[in-house]
Order: sequence, then C-alpha cells, then structure tokens
Amino acid sequence: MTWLAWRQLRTQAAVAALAVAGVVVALAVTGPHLLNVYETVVVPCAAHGDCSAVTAHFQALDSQLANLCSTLMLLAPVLFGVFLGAPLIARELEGGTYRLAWTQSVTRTRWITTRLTLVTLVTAVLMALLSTAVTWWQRPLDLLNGGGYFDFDKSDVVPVAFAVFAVALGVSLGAITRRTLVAMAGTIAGYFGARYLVTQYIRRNLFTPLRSSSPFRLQVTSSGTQATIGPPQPGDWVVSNQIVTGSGRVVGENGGIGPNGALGGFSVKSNGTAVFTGVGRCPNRIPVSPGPHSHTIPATQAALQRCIDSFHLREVVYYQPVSRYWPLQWSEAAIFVAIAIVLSAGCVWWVRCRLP
Amino acid sequence: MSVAALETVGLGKRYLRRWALADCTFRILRGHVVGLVGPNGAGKSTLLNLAAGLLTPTAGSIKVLGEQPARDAAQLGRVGYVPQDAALYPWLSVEDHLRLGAHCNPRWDAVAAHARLAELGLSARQRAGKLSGGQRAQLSLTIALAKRPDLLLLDEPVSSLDPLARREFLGLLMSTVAGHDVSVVLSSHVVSDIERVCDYLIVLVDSRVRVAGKIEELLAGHHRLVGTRSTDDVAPANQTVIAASVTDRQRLLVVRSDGPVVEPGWIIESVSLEDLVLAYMGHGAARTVALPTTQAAP
Repeated sequence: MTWLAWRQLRTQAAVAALAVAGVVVALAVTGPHLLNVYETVVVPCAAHGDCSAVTAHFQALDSQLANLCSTLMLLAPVLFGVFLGAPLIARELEGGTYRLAWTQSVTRTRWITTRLTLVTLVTAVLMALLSTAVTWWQRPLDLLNGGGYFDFDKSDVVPVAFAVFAVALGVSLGAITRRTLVAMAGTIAGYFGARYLVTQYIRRNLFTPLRSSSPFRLQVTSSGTQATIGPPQPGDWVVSNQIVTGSGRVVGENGGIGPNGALGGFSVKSNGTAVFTGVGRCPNRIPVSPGPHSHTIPATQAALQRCIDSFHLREVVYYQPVSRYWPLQWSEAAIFVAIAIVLSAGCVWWVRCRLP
Repeated sequence: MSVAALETVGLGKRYLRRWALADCTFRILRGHVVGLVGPNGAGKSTLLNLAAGLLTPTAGSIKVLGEQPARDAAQLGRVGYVPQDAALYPWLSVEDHLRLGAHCNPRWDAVAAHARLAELGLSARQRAGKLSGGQRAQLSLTIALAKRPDLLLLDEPVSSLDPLARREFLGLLMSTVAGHDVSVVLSSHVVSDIERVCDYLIVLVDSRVRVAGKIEELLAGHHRLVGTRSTDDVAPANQTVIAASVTDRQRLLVVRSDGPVVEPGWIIESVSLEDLVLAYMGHGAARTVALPTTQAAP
C-alpha cells in the first residue's frame, strides 16, 4: 500500500521539493552576505547612535527576496493543503478510481491511514526545511525590526503545523465535498479563516499577558511628536496599550490620545497649544514640522511635558514578553496539529463509513 | 453444506428516498457463472458494489463467500472486481497498474498477469489513459484475475466494447476461468452476452429480483403458449403467466410451470433465454424476432 500511496504522491511531492530546493538555494547563496553586512555594518552603527540611512540601505538589500520569503511563508502551507490535500480523496471519487483502490487486498482504513500519513510526512519535512531556511535567512531583518515576535507566524515551528493542518483540512473537505475544485477553494477559505481566528483571538490569550504601567511621556522625533508608549523590552509583543487618567478613565489607545488611537486626538497647533481630546490643553512651542527651530525642541518639550504631567496620565501596556516566544510557538503549533489530528480521524471515519 | 458464493437476505440499498435495490433474497452456490441482467438503472451495479464491499446495505444482509464483504484484507483478496468503465489511474502506466496489484495483494500472480498482457499485446509503458475501451477492460480484468480470486465480479465489463472486442473479452474470460475454481457474477443488459457464458441467471427489474435460477432449469420450466383470439377466456391451468400479449390474430403467453405443460387449444413452444428475459422485464410475450432491440428502456 505504501508503494501506491507514494506513487500517487510522487509527482506533486517532487514539484514541491523542487520549489523548496530552489528557495533554499537562493537563500543559502544570499544569506551569508546579508548576515555579514548586518554584523559588520549595521550592528556597529547602531551602537553609535542614529543610523537610519544605513538601516534603510540594509533593508533594501535583497528586499525582493525578503518579500518573496514573506509571501511564500504566508502561502506555502495552504498550497500544500490545496495541491496535496484536497485532491487526495476527491480525485479518486471524481475519477471513479476508488473502485480499483478499495477492492485490492487492503482495507479502506489502511488505505486512508497510509495515504494520510505519507502526505503529512512529506508536507512536514518540506515545510520544516523551508521554514528553517527562511527563519535563518531573515534573522538579521527581524532583529532590525525589534526581533522577538516580528515574523512570528513565518518562522520556526508554526509554519510546519499550519501546513499539516492545511493538508488535513484539504483531505477532509475533498472527502466530504467529493469535488477537487470545491475542496481546493474550501481549503483556502478554511485555512485563512482558522489562521485569522487563532491570530486575532487565541494567540494573545494563550498565556495571560503581563501588565506594565508607567507615566505618560511625550517624545519628539524627526517626523513629529508621539507618545513614548511601548513594551518594557524591544522584542516584546504588545497585546494592548492604553493611556489612562489618574482616576482610571481610558483616554487613549494604541499609543495615542483620542478615540481612534494614533495621534488623532492629540494635535499640536502652530498657534501655540497642544490639545489632548478629553483631557485638556497645554501651551506649546514645539513647531508642527521640525525645521530651523529644532535646536530649541528639548527645552520646549520639557515645558510641555511638565504641563502633561499635571494630568497624571499613565501608559498601561499588556504584553507578551519576548521570553514567551518559544512557549507560544509550541502552543500554537500544538493547536493546529491537534486540529489536524481531529480532522484526520474524522477523515478515516468518513472514508470507512460514509463513502462512496 | 458448502459456503455460498453469494447469499443475500432481504438486501436493500436506498439513496436518499429512492431504493436502488430492494428486498433481494437469493443464494448462489460456488462454481456458477452468474448473469445479472436487467434494464439500465435496475440495480445491477448496486448489487455488485454491495458484493464488492464498496457500498453498505441499507436493509438486509449480504454474505460473499460466507463473509461480510470487505470485512478485512483477506476477504477483499478473495474477491476480484472489474468495475464499470474499468476504473484505472489514467496517468499510471500499464506496468504501474500491475505493480499496484503486486504491492496490494498477497496472493498476486505476477507471472500470469504479465503473460496475459503479452497475450493481449498491451505495451507495459503505455499510460492507462491512452488505452482503448477494450484494452482498459482487459487490463482491469487482468488485475482482478491476478488476485487469484474465489469470486469474480464484473460490472458491465463489455458495455463499451464493439462486438468483436466483446466476443474476445468474454472468450478470454471464460478460458481463464475454466481452469480455476472461481465463481463469476457478470452484469449486462445484453442477453446474448449472458447466453454465451453464463449458467445461472438473475433478472433485476425496478430494483427487485424478478427471477433467479439455473438457466437450464429456467428454460425447461418456461414455455410459450400460442393461441387464437378465441381462446381469450380460457386461462391455462396450473401455470403462472409471466407475460401476455395480443396481436391481431393470436394470443401469446409466456408461462412458468413446474410439471409438463398440457394445454388443449394452445400451441406449446419452448422459449429462448431472450424471450424469457424479455417476458420478465415486462415486454410481453412477443417473439424475439419481433423486437429490434434488447436494450430495454429503464
């Protein structure tokens, strides 16, 4: 039976392996240079202060390959589901070949378990290879973006679990709908639906987020003014952040004051006031756009800050510390593998009892 | 008591609300070549799929070689199945199909399978999708036979073949089967195919078994009675009328009787298998020659 399962998977597996090999080679060729530039130029520069120009130049290096990696890691798992998973049973039903397969001296249970095992194994191995290569390659870029959770779902273990889940979903939908095309479309919809739900609602609450609270401070940068709100460590993942008054009233979210977050509710007017919607206003001498007067900013900022301090605003941040990266990786992977196992078990039952 | 090749009790299969097969009870001993005949949609494929274990019954039970179909690998190995339209993997070669059989069947007879292919002149590297209908049917039969089955099920194996290929297929089937202790159930809507190879007949009409028995006994037990219009009111005694039809001049009956038929006023003729099948399929008692086709409407 293993022979037949492999014979039927061989072509798709070879195509997938070739594609993965192509990407791995491209990454292996460009990766060392990227890492070298990062270590010899970007890191020393960062140690000496502002080096946005260097950073921008570095990010432009292989930016196309970086975009490709990003897209690839987003789509690769569902591609496995669509091309290896969905046709597995649906094509047998459409072509009538199940009548040949299920009348050999192999029970249906063994037929489906063998085929499921093999396709899952091939998917997991190829996806692990791809994920390892991409994770290694984009490590310098991730570090530049604060490291930690940046590219969380495009690195390490979770992509493998996503792919295993997508394949189980594809096989199951193929068995239920009996149509390859319908199963393919359903796999795409179901995969991104499940991913969205887990990303939006489950991932952040897998472990209770930590809370940090600090006085609200204003920061002036080359591009204007903004709140300093942020997690305690650069690599931490901010689940939510709020600005609250001394009495506990929430006046701002996501780093800004005002109902829509951002800096919408915080406007610096050139006529000399800074308005904090729902809180109050302060005299302001910081120019709207930094220009020739930039040298006076530190002094004026200090004056504005003193006024803001009188409001007793606090920044409250809920976050997942960077130390939880691996527990979160394994937990989310476990969730998708568990769903895949449930789907596969359902699939075995369906093939045994509900088909053709 | 020997184990029956195929035994059903009140067997039925329902799709949503429609019964594809209903209340089907018969018992066929091993060693027979059974012809399963009936119009399209009568339930022939359903019965064979139930026997192959591809379908599970909605009602009643079916035993194949004394066991529940597809119960385990050993049971599956004892039944060879040639599906309608010869289900093959179009992108796999002829050779690959034999490898498939070899890897999936412990009793596989590789020597016989290859010999058969050579006999048929099939190229091993040819993809199954490029074979002709006849070649596909032959390959499908080769796979089923190489399992060395105790029971061979063939679902309309010759329906897509031209008359010559049909003759060749059935000839090869019979010469192969003759040397082995294998029972055969063959479905067809063409009576002449059945007549050539079968010794047992099951007529299925509207999802039900209309008649089942050894062909020899069926032919001996059925007669055609030809009478004049004036015999209208005279019902034959001790006979079961299967079909009746009236022409301008005469009245024709096909009757079933257990004993010798003695009917004054009627001319008694023997029936052909085709007459008999047509009578049970509800086409009246007309002579075969009067009917241009046996491919009855469903």
